[in-house]
Amino acid sequence: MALRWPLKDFDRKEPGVWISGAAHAAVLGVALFAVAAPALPDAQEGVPVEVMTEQEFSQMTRGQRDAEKPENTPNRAERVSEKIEEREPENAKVDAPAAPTRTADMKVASVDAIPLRADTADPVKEEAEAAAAKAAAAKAEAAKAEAAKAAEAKAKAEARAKADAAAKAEAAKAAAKAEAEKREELQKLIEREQAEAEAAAKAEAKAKAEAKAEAKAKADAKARAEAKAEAQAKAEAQAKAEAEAKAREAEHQKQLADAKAKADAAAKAEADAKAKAEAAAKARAKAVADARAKADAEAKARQQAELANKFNAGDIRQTLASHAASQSTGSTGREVQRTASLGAASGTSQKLSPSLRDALVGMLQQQIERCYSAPPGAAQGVVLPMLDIRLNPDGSLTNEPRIMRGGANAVDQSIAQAALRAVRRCAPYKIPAQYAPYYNDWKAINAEFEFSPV
Amino acid sequence: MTPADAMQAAPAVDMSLFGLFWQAHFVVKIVMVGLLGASIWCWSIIVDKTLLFRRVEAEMDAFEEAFWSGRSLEELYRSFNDRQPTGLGALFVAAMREWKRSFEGSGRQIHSLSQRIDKVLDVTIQREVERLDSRLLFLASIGSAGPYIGLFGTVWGIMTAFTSIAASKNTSLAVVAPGIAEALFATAIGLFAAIPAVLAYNKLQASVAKSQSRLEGFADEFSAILSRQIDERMSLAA
Repeated sequence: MALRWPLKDFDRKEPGVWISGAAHAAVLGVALFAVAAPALPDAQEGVPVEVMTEQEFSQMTRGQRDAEKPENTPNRAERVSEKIEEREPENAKVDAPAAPTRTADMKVASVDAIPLRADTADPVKEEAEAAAAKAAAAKAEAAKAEAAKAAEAKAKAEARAKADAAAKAEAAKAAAKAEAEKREELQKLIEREQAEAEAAAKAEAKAKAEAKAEAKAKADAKARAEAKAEAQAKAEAQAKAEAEAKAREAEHQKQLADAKAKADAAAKAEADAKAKAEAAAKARAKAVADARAKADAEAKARQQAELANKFNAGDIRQTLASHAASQSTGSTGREVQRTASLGAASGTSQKLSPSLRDALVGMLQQQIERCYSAPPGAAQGVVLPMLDIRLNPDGSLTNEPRIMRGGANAVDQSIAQAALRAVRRCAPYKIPAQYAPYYNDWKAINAEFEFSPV
Repeated sequence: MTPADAMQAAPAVDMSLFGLFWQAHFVVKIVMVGLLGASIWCWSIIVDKTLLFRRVEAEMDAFEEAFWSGRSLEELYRSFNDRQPTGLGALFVAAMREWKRSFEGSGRQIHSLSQRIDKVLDVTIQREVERLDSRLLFLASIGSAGPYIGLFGTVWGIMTAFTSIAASKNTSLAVVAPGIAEALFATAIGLFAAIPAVLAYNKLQASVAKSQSRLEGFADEFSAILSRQIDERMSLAA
């Protein structure tokens, strides 16, 4: 009775097969037509990922090795212009659009409002001053000479010189006051005028002084000649008297010279004081004018800064919405640049194969070993020193070699240090030309080095 | 290979149940069909057995009612002997037949009659229990092996899926997913067949045990009645 297939006839006592079959068919039918999986949405990758090999990547990023070499002075022209005119790309033909407009009340400070810098020296004025000083000195000298010759003349000359000086000082003071009172716009003109007036006055004084000096010189000469003549006449008669007279004359002359020098010094001091006073007055006036001009300029600048700080959205929108054609017309030049842009000099293009790398490390080890002297008493260490060596393309060290891993115990440490010294000592390494293209891969070498303890 | 190409490389997948079945590998198809057949067979057994036990239960109730109604054993025997009885009736008929045979012949062989009746009752109980028990083992087998069979189909299907990944060099989920879905479908069918089988097996086994104990109880009782009769007749004869 076990495991029979009672399909030959329908047994009323055992209808299980039929019931079960029918039930399964019903369930399957429902599953197929009613509970069928809903149509899945189109499969879409969240992030488009492309699987590629390292070689493919290297190929993509590789530079062009046999491309035309770029000129030293790259010609950046994009097309040939009719008129040959070198124009750099950044210098467009048309001016760039103006910056956002300013509000109406925001003006750049007008040129006339900007005061000339008052502290700059006026050459004309200086000249005049120098001339005046000279004249004064000359006058003083002349006055002294006169004083030496004739008391009257001296007194007169002195009086005149004093009067002159007083007048001058008065004029200078008046001018200074006038300057201080006048506006800054007129200041320069006035100064110039004053300087001119001064110069004129000084020139007159000078001329007078010169004339006086001439006359004085003539009188001197006459007096001398007379004295000589007298001396000659007396010489035959009295040699002693002559000597006495000479001595007396010399003494007298000495006294004269002393007096003259004293007078000279006094006059000079006077002139100095005068000049100083004048300069001080001028400087004060100038300082006042300067301060006023500076305050003006500062106020203006502050106002402008305030206006500029105000956010003006309209300006920005206007600039953004402008439909003006692009201003760039491209660069022009004598010839069009045809050089392709090359890849980076050291791209990720080529990598050392493991065998090449091994060979390179072996070569380095061989070269380093020649300079390696084992630390005394150190046999074979437990941990091979791993060194970090940075190389230039010509095989020299880029920077100091470092120990990446040197072991913990003293022997390992000393071996590592010895290896480091050897690396430094052997420094320019010979690296075959075939490795040149792979420089990017071997410019930093981290490798374990094993040296025989010789 | 751009993502768009990858999309094209991934086949348009029919994710309906029939589609899953139809795209599956041959081995997986066999596993699925086998498991579906097993499921059908399991359910037919479950239905049959449930009906059978219900019937047996009813018959036993009816027989016990008739047996304890006070009618004479001869009368009962005559009424039951005509129609191939089952359950308790079969026990009664078998024991009565042995009894009658012992008294029909010239010599009365009543010395070992009670032993013979016991034997007959035991054999009849065994036969009845076997009848109830038959085909339940199949349920047990499906219950324990079904998931494994489904798992086999799944493993095979996943192997195929990974082979297709290797072939297309594309790891996008669109390439992997259909194969895995197919494969998992096999396990699903295996569980679909196995779970009812296990539950039904336990339930039916319990029913069999109950019926068996009831049969044995009745056999002991009837055997006691018959042996009392034998002893009475032996004392009369002596």
